[in-house]
Amino acid sequence: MKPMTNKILFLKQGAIILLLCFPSLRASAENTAPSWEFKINAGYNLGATSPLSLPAEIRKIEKYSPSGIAPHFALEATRWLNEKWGISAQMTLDHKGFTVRDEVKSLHTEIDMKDEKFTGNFTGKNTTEIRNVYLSLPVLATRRISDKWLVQAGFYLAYLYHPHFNGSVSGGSIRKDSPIGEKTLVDHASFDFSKEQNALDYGVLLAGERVFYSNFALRGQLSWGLKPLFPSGFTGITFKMYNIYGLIGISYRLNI
Amino acid sequence: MIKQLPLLLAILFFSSCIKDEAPNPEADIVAISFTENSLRTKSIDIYNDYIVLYPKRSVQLQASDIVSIELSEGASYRARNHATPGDTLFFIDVTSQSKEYTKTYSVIQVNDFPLNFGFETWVRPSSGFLYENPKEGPLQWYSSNNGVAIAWNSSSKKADEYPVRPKHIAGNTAVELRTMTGPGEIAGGVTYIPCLAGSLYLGGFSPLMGLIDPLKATLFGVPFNSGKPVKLTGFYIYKEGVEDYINGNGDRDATKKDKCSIYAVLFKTGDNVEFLYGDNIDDSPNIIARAEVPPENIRQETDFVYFEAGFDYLSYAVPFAWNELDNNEYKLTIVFASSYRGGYYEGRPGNTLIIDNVQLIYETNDE
Repeated sequence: MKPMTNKILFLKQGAIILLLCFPSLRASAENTAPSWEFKINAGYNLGATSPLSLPAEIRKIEKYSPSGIAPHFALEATRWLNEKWGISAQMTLDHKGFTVRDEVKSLHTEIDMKDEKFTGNFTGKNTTEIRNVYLSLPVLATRRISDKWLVQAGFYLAYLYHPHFNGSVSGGSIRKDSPIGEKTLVDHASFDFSKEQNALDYGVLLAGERVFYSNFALRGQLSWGLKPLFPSGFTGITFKMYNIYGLIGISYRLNI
Repeated sequence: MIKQLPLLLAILFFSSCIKDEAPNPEADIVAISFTENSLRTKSIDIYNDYIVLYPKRSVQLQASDIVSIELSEGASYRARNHATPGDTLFFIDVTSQSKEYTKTYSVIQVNDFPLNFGFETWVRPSSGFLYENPKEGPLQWYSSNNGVAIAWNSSSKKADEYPVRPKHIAGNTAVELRTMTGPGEIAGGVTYIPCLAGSLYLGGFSPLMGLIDPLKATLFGVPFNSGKPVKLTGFYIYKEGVEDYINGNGDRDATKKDKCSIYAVLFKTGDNVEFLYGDNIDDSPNIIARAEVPPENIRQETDFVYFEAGFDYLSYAVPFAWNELDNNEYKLTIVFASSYRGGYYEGRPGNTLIIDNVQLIYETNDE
């Protein structure tokens, strides 16, 4: 490794600041030390925004389909502290979503109407479509295992940039207020909880990379949200849901 | 295969976590039957927390007369005597399989058809809502309030915000039916209701159909064996609304006239005909006779106007037969509505019909 320049020393203050300065850093990166490393990651998110264990009200998952296009893009900077250990920070854009069609029994829900709330226990079919786009800032400890392998673990903080959580219920019945309330058949009713979602999410990240050609590595990642999707006062869905997504992608190390 | 992999993984993940079904929280009486030949009807009207029985003359039913009862899966029941049996014969407590919920059903009996309807007594028929309907002795009137309650699904709307409400005039209580603007699209497109009209009728209501097919939710007809109906009489005050007429699709029409409805229908029940519905009350082949105040004769006065409508037997194919009447094969309904096509969510908001002192005049077979 070459000795560090003053410019880099200045940037040592933290990975997040580094990230914010990334474009300018890159422009002046020709004479930087190899203890800094920059990557561009791209991949595909696959997973679910799901309760940790399915509540008993969900009787059957009829269909699960990942979002057609659920991309992940990241800019990553790693500051190597020594041969094996480094600290990485990323700036990422993540599309997290899927569509699920399930059968529910006596699921308590509350749908906002103009001036009232439609409250009751629904039994029937439900389709939920989630297409959320997050901007997030992960900070990771990076461990180089060999020339080809490295693993990472850390945290992320994410901002829900484009919320999309909606769906419909059909072919069932709703009982007013509780399972013993007056029962009414429901053909089709739609719901949109997009704006009810928490604007922030945070969680843990685990990732691994293996170089397969030159600067290219195959990247796998698991991100596990620790903050429920909806605020605690939200009663449209009675169980807590978390963003739990895997990622398969490619990482490209920049020669700078 | 690669394409299928996520799906396979997901199914594995989810199916491994589908929990055992929770104990059933529902506590319904699905079906009930009583000692043979004790009732005037073939079917029994079971509502969410009450049951209406029309016993034959001189039959006094008790909880011990229950022959069979079908409950929600896993639920159990206990019949409980009413301290002072009257119109409410006894209670049935149903406890859900989950033991979380117990629902109490009142078992109500309706004997003779009332001679006069004064609309003095009003009750709250559903524990979840605040609306009221009039009651004459044990015989409950049903109204558009039943359906409106489901559409609004509001526990806080007060009784006098509903289209049918009591109206106090000169020391008496009458019934007031009003047409009002509807909620529009409800609960994410369950149904579209541009206009709500007031209607009041004898029969029943099916909350199950309330949203998906409102015309099928109004059940017309109560058992009638008192005699041969001759005419329907009573008093009304009618006032036409000043707002634009609202069509079923929500379009407004300033020029279209609205009118109210006052009529009664006698019909014969059969294997598949226990009730008439909103969509066949006018033209069912089971109709024996009909009495109606013709809309063109309705006057707009500030004070009560007397009405009298004779039953027309000649225009209908089914003949009246005394033995069929005695055999409890007939049902009768009386209907009032503040808008002529209120059942189709049409009308002129502001239309008001006040009704009081209704009588059904019938002749008896003295032979």
